[in-house]
Amino acid sequence: MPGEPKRLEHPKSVYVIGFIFKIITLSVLIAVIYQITFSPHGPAVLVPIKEKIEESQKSAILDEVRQQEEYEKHRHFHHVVEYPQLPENMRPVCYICHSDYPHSKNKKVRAMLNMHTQFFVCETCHIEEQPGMSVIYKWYNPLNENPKGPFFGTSYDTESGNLVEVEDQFSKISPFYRSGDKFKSAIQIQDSDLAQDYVKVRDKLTPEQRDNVKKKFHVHIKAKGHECKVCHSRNGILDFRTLGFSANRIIDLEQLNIKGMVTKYEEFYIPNLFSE
Amino acid sequence: MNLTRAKKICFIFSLSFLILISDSVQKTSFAADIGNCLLCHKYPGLSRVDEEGRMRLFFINESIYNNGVHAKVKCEGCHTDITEIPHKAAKKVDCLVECHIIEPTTETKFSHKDVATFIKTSVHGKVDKIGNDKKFSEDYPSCKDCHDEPLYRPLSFFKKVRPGISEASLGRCRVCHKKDDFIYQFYNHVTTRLHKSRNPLNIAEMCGRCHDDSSLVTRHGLSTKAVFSYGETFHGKAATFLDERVPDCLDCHVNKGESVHQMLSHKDPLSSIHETNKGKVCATIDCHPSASPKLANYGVHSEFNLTQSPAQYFFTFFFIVLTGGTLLPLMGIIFLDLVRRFFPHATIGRRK
Repeated sequence: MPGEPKRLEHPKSVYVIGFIFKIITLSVLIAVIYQITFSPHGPAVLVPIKEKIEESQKSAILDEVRQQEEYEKHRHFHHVVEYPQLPENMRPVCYICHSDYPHSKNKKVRAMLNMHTQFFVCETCHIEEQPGMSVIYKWYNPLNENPKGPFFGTSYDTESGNLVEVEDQFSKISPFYRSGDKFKSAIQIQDSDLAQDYVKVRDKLTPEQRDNVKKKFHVHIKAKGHECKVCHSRNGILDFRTLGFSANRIIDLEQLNIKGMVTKYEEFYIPNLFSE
Repeated sequence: MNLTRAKKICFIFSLSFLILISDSVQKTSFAADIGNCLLCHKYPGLSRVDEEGRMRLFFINESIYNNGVHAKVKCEGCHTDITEIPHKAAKKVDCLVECHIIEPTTETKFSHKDVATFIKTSVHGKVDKIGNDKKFSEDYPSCKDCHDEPLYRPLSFFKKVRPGISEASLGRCRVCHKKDDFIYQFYNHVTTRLHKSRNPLNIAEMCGRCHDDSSLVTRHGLSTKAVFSYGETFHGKAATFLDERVPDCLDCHVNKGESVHQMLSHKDPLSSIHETNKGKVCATIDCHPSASPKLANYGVHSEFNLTQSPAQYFFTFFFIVLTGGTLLPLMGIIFLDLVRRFFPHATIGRRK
């Protein structure tokens, strides 16, 4: 009736229906705008502008790197399996400059050395032991303060002979400094103050300044890692038993044939028995 | 018995003894790894960046490899240049090499040489009919551009057709055949071959690596980004949802019963998609058996492009405007009405 106050107390269902309609309206609006502006299935009126902006920000290096990665995945006939990666800030500082495949000089063993990055951190091999400082090697997981395992690479699947698949995808063998009963990690992760500060300012540093800062990251780090036998031998620095390796895996690691191939043989000799 | 023969026997005995020992120490299912290549290549991360800055991956996943059609081929069967350990950088594999497997129907050494012959005369061949290199011949695919290790996709037919191995059928195989290795390989091989080794989406993605590459499409004067436009059709959309019943690129572009490597240009009168033949493509018994040849006249590869498909362009544009023009005012009114109900006293500016 005219003059009567309007009804303001609506049932709750009206608000729910109203909310749903608003969402639908918004979705239709977004879809129509997208269809007209950017969708490859429509007139794409804003695509030329987008392309112009992208063109100005285009990096030939980035494009090539991505193309190469894609190319290698398809070029690799055998199926490539992705393995999980730690978040950037959880990775050791080494990864600011180096990748998962840091070894490239020694053609004979570079891929083999790179393989080791899946099992231990860089410092395990490259740490320079200090006089009076006791270094202990333990499993380290940036996502778990006290990883219990089982760890990857420590045992074989009795059925297939492959390394056992494990839940813990991130633990690696890492050096710790012993101080009384306590252990202090000998590695720096990218979350550390120095690393974060470096990442923030590295583009502003001159090449000389950058080199100076990098030296801070390489304190107690030696350029050439341990020889194979330092770990792969009966009395190596890694106590495989304490680290939780199975008995047959320990035998394989301590008497590693690969190590023998690398250190002893120039080439593997197959007797020419079948040629007359 | 001369010395050479004695050496041979001695070597064979030693080898048998070593195999016996290694088998008892560690059971492995990797039949083809006679050279023990997986001693190194089983490790994830076995990779490097080469001198030219290209990443090279060397890790082989054993369980995936064992599930592939090449599981019985020993590593050296393809990587023929590797004769020493540790080996130097391996050469590119020649897929046409004769491997140690014997092709059972002809009892000759197996090779993919026939595929090369098919490819040579197909639309994907690098040379033209008179043997000259085609323009931009480097763009034409080689084996690995389309293929990675094909994996088994066995089917069970025992009571109903479903993916996987039928244990019941295996039991029937064992009535005559004794070696389980052979039974599994043969079963997997045959049942995988009875259907597509890849789903339609996977095949479309593979073709799209070249046929959706704008620069390649322009370079070769192709009329469409083929996989993109396939994705616009009902078939393409169903393929996106992993429907395996819809046709993929190969179903239309290859004559039934021929090797997929014999794909011909749409201008070739022998091609399945030549103007005179394409009606039959839709009307096969597996697709639309009662369809008229006219069904094939619809724009399979139409894009929203005024030059390529003007009719499709205007229709699509009309429907965008219709959808927006109908729904938006309607919903706009509902929206404004709701705003008023939520905020009955709200005003913009001062009320007179």
